[in-house]
Formats: sequence, C-alpha cells, structure tokens
Amino acid sequence: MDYTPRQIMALVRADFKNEVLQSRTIWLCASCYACTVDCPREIRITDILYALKQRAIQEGVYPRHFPIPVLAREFAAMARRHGRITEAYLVLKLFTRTNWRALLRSWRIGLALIRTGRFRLRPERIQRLDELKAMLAATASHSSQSSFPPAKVT
Amino acid sequence: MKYPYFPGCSLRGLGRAYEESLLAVLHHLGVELQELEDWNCCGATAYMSVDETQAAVLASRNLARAERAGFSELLAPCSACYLVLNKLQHSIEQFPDIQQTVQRALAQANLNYRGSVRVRHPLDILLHEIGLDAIRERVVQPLRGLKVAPYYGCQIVRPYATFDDAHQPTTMDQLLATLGAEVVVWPLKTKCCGGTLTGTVPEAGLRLSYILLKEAQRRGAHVLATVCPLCHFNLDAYHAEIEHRWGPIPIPTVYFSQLMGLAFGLAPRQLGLHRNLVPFRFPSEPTVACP
Repeated sequence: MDYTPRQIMALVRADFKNEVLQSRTIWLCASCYACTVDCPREIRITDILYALKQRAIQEGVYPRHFPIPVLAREFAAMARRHGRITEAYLVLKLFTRTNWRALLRSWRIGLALIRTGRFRLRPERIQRLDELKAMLAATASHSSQSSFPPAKVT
Repeated sequence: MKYPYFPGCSLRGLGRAYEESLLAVLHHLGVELQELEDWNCCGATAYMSVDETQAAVLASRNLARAERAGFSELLAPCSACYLVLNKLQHSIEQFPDIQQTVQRALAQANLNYRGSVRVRHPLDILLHEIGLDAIRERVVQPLRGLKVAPYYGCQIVRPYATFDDAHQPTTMDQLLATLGAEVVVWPLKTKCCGGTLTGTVPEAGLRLSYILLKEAQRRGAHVLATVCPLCHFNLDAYHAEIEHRWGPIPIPTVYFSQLMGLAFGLAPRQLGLHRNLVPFRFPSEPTVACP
C-alpha cells in the first residue's frame, strides 16, 4: 500500500490526480464495504474507490505489473467474450500475465482441485452471445463518463 | 414451493459443492429451483473496477430475463452475485440515468426491465419463507457437540442489509442452532476473507484468511460454516499455504448447506463434501470422513 485510504481521500480532494490514479492502494480495496457501512458521514468509500479504479483504467495509468488490475481486465474481457467466467482459465491467464512463479508454486492446489472436480476445464459460455454483445456495444459511447456521482478527480 | 434460481459461474466451478448441497437440502425441504434460462456472469467485483456502465448492463440482462420469464424473485446463493444484482436493483431505483442507460442497452436485445425482480439469498428463504420449525422437523442427526463458527463474510450483509443486520447478523447462527450445533461466539463473522487478493497479493490476502481461522481456533471452533464460494476457496484451497506460513490450524471450512444436509441425514457425497481439500470430520467420531 503506497498511501493509506485517508491519504487517498485527502489527495483526491487536493487534486493530486496522478498520485491517486497511479497508486496501488486503490486496487487493494477488496470491496468488503466495511468502511461504507461504518462511515459516520455516510461516504460511500467503496464506490469512490471503484470510480478511481475505472478512471485509472480508462486513462491507462494503472500500475502495469500489479496483478489486481490485470485480473480485473482479464475478468471483464472473459465476461464480454463468453458471457460467463471459467475460473480455471481466468487463474491461468492471471498467472501467465503477472507471475509465472506463482503458477509453478500453485501446481499442488491445481491438481487437488482437478482431483475434486472443482477445476473445470470445459469453457463456459452463454447461448445468446449476440444479445449480450449488442447490449454492451450500446454502452460504448457512454462508458467514457462515470454515472455515479462522487470522486472529484479533475 | 418453487424458486427461480441464478447459480452464477462459481457454483458451476470452484463452488460446485455449494450448489450440490443447496439443491439437495432444498429438495429435501420440498423446495424446487428453476434455473434462469441462459443466465450470464453477474460481473462480480472485477467488472465494476473496469467499467461500471458495462457492469450494470451485463448484470441487467439477468434481471430482465428473469422478469420476462415471469419471475418476481431470484435466488442468488453466491455472495458476489447476490450483491451485484441487489446493487443494480438499488442503482436503477436511485439513479434515473443508470436506469436509462440500462434500458437503452436492453432495448438492443429486445429486452426491457421494469424493476420488479427481488433478489434473495438462501438464508433469507430458509428463515423467512420455509421457517426454522420446518427445518427442525427434518433434523434426524442433530449436530450435537459440533462447534461451528458462522462465517457470513462481506457481501450478503453489506452494504445492503436486506434480511439481516450489517454488523451482527444472526440468521446463520439461528439456523445452525436449529441443526443442533453449538454456535461459537466469534466476532469476525462479517470480516473480509481477502477476496481475490489471496491470488493477486498473497501477503495481504492470505493474512486475512489466516486471521479468521486463527481466531476460530482460539474460540474452540471445529469448523467454519460459510455462504460464499470465494470465502470457501480461500479458507479451503489455500489452507495448506496458510499453515505453511503461520503453522498448523486444523479447521476445515464447509458450506452451511452441507451441515444442513448432514443433519438431515443425507450422504456426504451427495452434499459434495468429498470436494473439500481440508476434510471435514465430526470431532468425536470420524464417521463423515470423505471417501
């Protein structure tokens, strides 16, 4: 974590755009929403961090070799392409893109998951892929602007 | 009773045992599920990080298809699916521009969403529709002597506490007590397991899972009961790695529905218990050993 969450909020308010969007901190939010329900000022911190992550990806300034944004992008690409996620392929993609050694270290887990029938290798996909693709194409012109309110990043 | 059902990708992969056990116990209780035809990925937390408009549109196809099929409710057992579909429902009600964007996209597929589908969790259905009395009647092998730490995780109670309290949920506690188990007082019941950080940044993610297991051990729990395929994956599949880093913590993690099935006298294999990497056994007698 390069900044604490409080520092991120302060940096956003003080217009330190690059520092915020290039930080690793925003990606370390696991979306547990604990802060959101606890914040006495009802600030939707999780949603603000989502907005920052989206902006970092749109502007292409996210930390390139940090596995979290890589996983998010691979996940989204697979969901767009097939309509469903096949976890085995997603994990393989993540590790080959970011950390070969992690892949080698995980062979034991991989084998155990195959043995117990949990690591399915048959790719999952929906039948009406055209329907989904047409829907997503309709958003193309709007996705450049965030429709959720907060996060003053200029 | 018959419920429209949204399985989600995990219940067809890493979380197969959740689907197997849930279907078995609901069937035993006289509830059948009707799978939503040609459902798609909810987008989970990952898509929301990339593009929220597309994430909303992706999830909306499921609600629209459910509405068109005449469903007023949709059962979503996976925590991520439950939250994402719920969040979309909230966003559509709260923000007219999101509703417009979603409608415009749905129109491209000749779909439409009026906003009439209520997303529900199995714990909600079990407690508030089926009822603990009906469940108690089915218990033939009470889980006496089994100390269970009830693990709700994040996303079924936060940020929308629809059927239970955001800070102190009790639905699973009540359910487990009805099965005859001893529910351990364990203050981490809604703490995060690390989510996908266990794979992306193991130093951070695995520590969160370790803390859950360690505290459960300190409190004398024999087993963790979970509602989420990702929590289960972290606590079960990374168990060896966690022990490698921090020392032995002999606590398995199972789905609450698997414990229900055992109390109903169903076979461990029918409940997918053989898919656990950390085998679950009753504390005294090793009768439920996985083959």
